[in-house]
Amino acid sequence: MSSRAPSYPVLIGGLTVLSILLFAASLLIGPAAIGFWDSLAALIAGEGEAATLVMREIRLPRAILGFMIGATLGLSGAVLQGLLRNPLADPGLLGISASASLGAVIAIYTGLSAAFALALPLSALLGAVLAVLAVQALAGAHGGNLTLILAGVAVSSLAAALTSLALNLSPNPFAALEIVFWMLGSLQDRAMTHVVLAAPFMLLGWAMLAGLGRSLDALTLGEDAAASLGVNLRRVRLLAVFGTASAVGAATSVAGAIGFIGLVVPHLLRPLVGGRPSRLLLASALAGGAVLLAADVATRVLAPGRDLKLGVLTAIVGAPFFLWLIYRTRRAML
Amino acid sequence: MIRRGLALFLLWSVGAPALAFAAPERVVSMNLCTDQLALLIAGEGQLISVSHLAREQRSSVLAEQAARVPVNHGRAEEVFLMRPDLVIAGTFTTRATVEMLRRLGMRVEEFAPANSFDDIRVNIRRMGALLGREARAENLVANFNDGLADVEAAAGGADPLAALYYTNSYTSGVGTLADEIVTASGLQNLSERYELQGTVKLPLELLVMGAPDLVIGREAFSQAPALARENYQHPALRAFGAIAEMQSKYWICGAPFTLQAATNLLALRERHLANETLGQ
Amino acid sequence: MSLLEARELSVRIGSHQVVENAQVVVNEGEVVGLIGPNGAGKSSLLRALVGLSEHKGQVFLAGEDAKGLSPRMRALRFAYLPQEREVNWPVSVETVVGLGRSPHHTGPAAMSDSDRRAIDAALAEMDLTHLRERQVQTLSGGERARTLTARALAQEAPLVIADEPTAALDPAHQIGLMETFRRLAKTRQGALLCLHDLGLAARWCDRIIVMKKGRIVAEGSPARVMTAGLLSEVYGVSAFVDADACGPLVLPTGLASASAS
Repeated sequence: MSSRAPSYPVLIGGLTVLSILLFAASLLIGPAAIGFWDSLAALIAGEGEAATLVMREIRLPRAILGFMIGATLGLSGAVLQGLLRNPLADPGLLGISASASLGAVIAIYTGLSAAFALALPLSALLGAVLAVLAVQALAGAHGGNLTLILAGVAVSSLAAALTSLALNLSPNPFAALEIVFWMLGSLQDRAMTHVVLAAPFMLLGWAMLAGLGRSLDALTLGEDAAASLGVNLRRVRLLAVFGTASAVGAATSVAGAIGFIGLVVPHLLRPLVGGRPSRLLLASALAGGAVLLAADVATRVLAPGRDLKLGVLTAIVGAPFFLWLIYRTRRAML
Repeated sequence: MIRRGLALFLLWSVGAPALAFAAPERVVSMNLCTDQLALLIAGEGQLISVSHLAREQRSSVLAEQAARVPVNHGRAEEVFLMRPDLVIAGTFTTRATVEMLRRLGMRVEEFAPANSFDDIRVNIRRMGALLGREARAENLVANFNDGLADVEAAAGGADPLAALYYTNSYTSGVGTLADEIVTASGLQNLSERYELQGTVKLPLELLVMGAPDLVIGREAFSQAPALARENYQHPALRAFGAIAEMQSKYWICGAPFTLQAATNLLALRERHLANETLGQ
Repeated sequence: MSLLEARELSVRIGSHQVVENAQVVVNEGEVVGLIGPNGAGKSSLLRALVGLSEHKGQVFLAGEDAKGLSPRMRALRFAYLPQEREVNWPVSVETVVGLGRSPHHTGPAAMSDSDRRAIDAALAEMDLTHLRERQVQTLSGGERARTLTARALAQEAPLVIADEPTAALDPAHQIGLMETFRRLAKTRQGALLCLHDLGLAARWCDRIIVMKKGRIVAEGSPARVMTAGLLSEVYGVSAFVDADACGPLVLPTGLASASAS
């Protein structure tokens, strides 16, 4: 098994190359047909006024956010699965994304974020933290797969309902149409302002999560063994909860809730890293970024001008995978 | 008792179309655009109800006149209870409501939205015929034609490139009334250059690459925040100066007052051309 | 010097006093067996000793109050093998054993030569060298138990605290494991083992601590403590107790109530 898997540096190298290629594809593919060299000239040297605007103000922020949000979801999924020792843990399934959406919706539609821009990511972060705490409280410290997923479904449904309620109550008739964006996510026309707003919180989240590898490895043996191996469980939980909340909250606040990447990516990579949670972190972040970039490029190629939501694509691929995962783990769940 | 009463009533209403050569006396309109045409054309007391949207300042040009007429909310039962002898609806009015009213024996006439100046003339004349007010309708059409000729006369010379860019990134392309208004006002419609048909999304990239002289938007429908107008905040749009936010009420419906939309665009074009001369 | 000393240790779970006023000492070069019937509080006592549960009283590790030690410093003073044989992901035997080395690193450092030596030695000690590449989830229960014990050994702490380390092992590996602990004792290390197999406890431990209903009811050398009378009183079983040249022999033979009444 382990002899057939690629070595860790090869895997990371491959995923890095893949991410770079998809990042480039995201920059080069769009409704405005700008040639390859013209795109590069516009992006790097600022040649051509309109092309430069397209490359620097429209496609670049979209590509940056695509990679960073995908990486956030992949990394958060890997950390949550490691922390809860549960292959079904994922920011979407646990209701973290939906609650972050609710936080963002409250900040935007009450006008709070217009008065104070940071209110948007902070409010989404708060929603995300509350979701993690609620799921943990509902499922308990030793909750099995089933209780955890049920708790996630409950939190998710409540957050989604409250989001719809908030948008329906808005006096602006357009608000109700935006439920789709908050539930399924999109990177359509995201600007550098969104990067500036969300990136610091995502980076902060990554920094909190990146150091957890060794502790998550020890958690492979359960909480008691991990604690006896010198893992400070309270610190690990705190970092995992706030790191996930910060990164997923910021990601959701500018792009809506995008599901399944955090579930699928770590699961596919696990056999390739010998099951070690620490090695899953960087690999899942890179692969998550690559997957979201690919999904975003696909929305532009499959349905140009229709603003196909990202969550539609990730769910079409991810939901059957989720069903298969449930089918495989059903004995452990019941 | 009630059932027999209803049956009698239905018999009476089924007979109503046969009397159509006489002008209807109790007309109910259920659509913002037919509301406004009817308000312009109907005789005293002939129009007994308009839709509630006709009173909205932001969407209705004739909000003041509409305030003097009882409103309806497009529900079959409330319209039925008004005992109209003619119901006028838009083709976009809820199908179920229209079907229900027809089943109840109401005479319902539907108007398609105007997609051209010709549609406006046709709709005015048809409304005139339905209400037995043909002379009034002809008068409006003549005035409309004169006004349009004035606009087109004033719009000669240079034709700056304009991008129509609404909330949620929508635009009007070929085959829309907005496109005709833009063209009549001496502007080129960017969406026409991209051969966009009807009301569709205009990707921001294409707008930017088209390098329009003017970006024409719509004023906010509501002060409450929503993402719908976030496209107006995009930094890539800064290069084109402020978005000219036009008053929606002159653009939503095709009617004689559509000329006002063209006149407003003419003024915008004048300002742009003046600035350009100053810049040189 | 004592590797571990607990004074007046009490543990309460809800309204239930599961450990009451326990005094425990494990000295260098000593293998201590903790025995007692189900529900006597053995596992609760071990969990309290290693700092996993709330408790009253004090625990000293090599003379220092455990409360003042960071989790990593504690991990350098003892290795703990919980009763649950939990391994969550499809990791290799070698990876699990390598986890025992984590207290020796503060950052994500690469594996050192001493790490490799410790892992190889632990694998050899537990007869796992030929299985090192295997995924733990494909192993038998006994092999998995040995893998987790090897992890505790690779930690190279002066004291091993293990909850039923011989459960699920075949006789050869049971004896092999007890010999391993004896060898550790020779190099002035120590072990505190919760055991259910009275024969193993009697034959391989230097000292026996007997618990019943949360209290330590007897303590001393196996020969002195493990008498037929005590086993009858504590476990409710009759036992055959004897000794040969290598040490005491204890074999439970029946329920005490059946023979006593």
